[in-house]
Amino acid sequence: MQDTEAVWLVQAQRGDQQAFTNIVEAYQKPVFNLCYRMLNNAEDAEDAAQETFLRAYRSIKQYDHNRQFSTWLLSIAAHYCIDQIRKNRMNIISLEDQPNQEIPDTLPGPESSLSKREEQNRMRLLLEKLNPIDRAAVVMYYWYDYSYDEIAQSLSLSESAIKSRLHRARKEMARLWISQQNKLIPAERKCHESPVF
Amino acid sequence: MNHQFFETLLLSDTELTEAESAMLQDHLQTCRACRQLSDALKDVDNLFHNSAFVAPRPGFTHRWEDALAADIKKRQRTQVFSITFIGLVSIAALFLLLGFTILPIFISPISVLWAELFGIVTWFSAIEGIINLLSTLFQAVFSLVPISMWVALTFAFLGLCAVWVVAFKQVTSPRRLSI
Repeated sequence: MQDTEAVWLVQAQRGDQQAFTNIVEAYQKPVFNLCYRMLNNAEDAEDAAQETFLRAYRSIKQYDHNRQFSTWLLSIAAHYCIDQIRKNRMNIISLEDQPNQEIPDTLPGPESSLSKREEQNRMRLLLEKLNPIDRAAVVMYYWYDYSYDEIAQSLSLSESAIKSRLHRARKEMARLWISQQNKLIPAERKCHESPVF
Repeated sequence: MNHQFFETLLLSDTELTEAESAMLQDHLQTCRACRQLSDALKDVDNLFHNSAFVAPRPGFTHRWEDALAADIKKRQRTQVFSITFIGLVSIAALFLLLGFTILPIFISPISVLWAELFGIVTWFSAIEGIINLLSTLFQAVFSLVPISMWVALTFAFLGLCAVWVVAFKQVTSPRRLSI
């Protein structure tokens, strides 16, 4: 795969459109996933992923082969999504106020179940509380198993900055998780309580 | 020790030492807040680690190819528009410049002709002045130096010329060059 990818990259740098289409085919899922986790919306994620590949195609000649291609590509996607989130913030519409976005139903069976949707919803609520850069770092950390160095490269930050951002973000999400649990427990109690008490 | 220390241990990515681990376990047994945080961190980690990649709708690559074709077309159109715009602006600027130059001729052609004539006369007067200056200078120098001196200078000049020609021939002769 690595060799084939290297050949595609060289061909794409020479202007071979078909070679770049192969790259799109190979990387559509990781790029879309990053965009989806960042933007919490399938339509926006599709647009962002398409734009990421267009930008990558336009600047493929500047790609340095010493760098990992996936890091380079996800860096473009992350920066684009960060910009989009910042632009959307101008509208001052909280995602919480919006109706729940459905995840594209690509996973059959249990993934489409109610509990999975609930899990996805909780994940969405955790992610949306983070600032865009922390969100990108968290997504790369959990879904892509990137090292601190790779995340730092992708987000154009220092390794120590990424460490402190991830530390802060994980703590924030844990605290939010606790508050979500606390909200859920009284609601469950209410359901089972007798109206007499 | 305060909670901050244990929070740092909980959030640490590096493996804890035995002493740190024991200390943390002791603290978790007595501190409800840190236990809650620890459980929450585990839950969040599990939630994220167990969540699969979300894939785009089928046909993503085809849609991308369409988007690329549209993008190329748009960029070509933008290029054509830019070149046309720059060309038109340049032509307009040239016409404007030309207009400013020609406009006085249309407004008052006689005064323009007079101005041109005045310019030509000025040029001629300037050339005449230079010629007068040079002839005065030449006459002054000629009257200062006696005729015998002129003859001597002429011979000296001719001698120098002859020396120069001989020296040049000596230097550029093939025999000398082959050495």
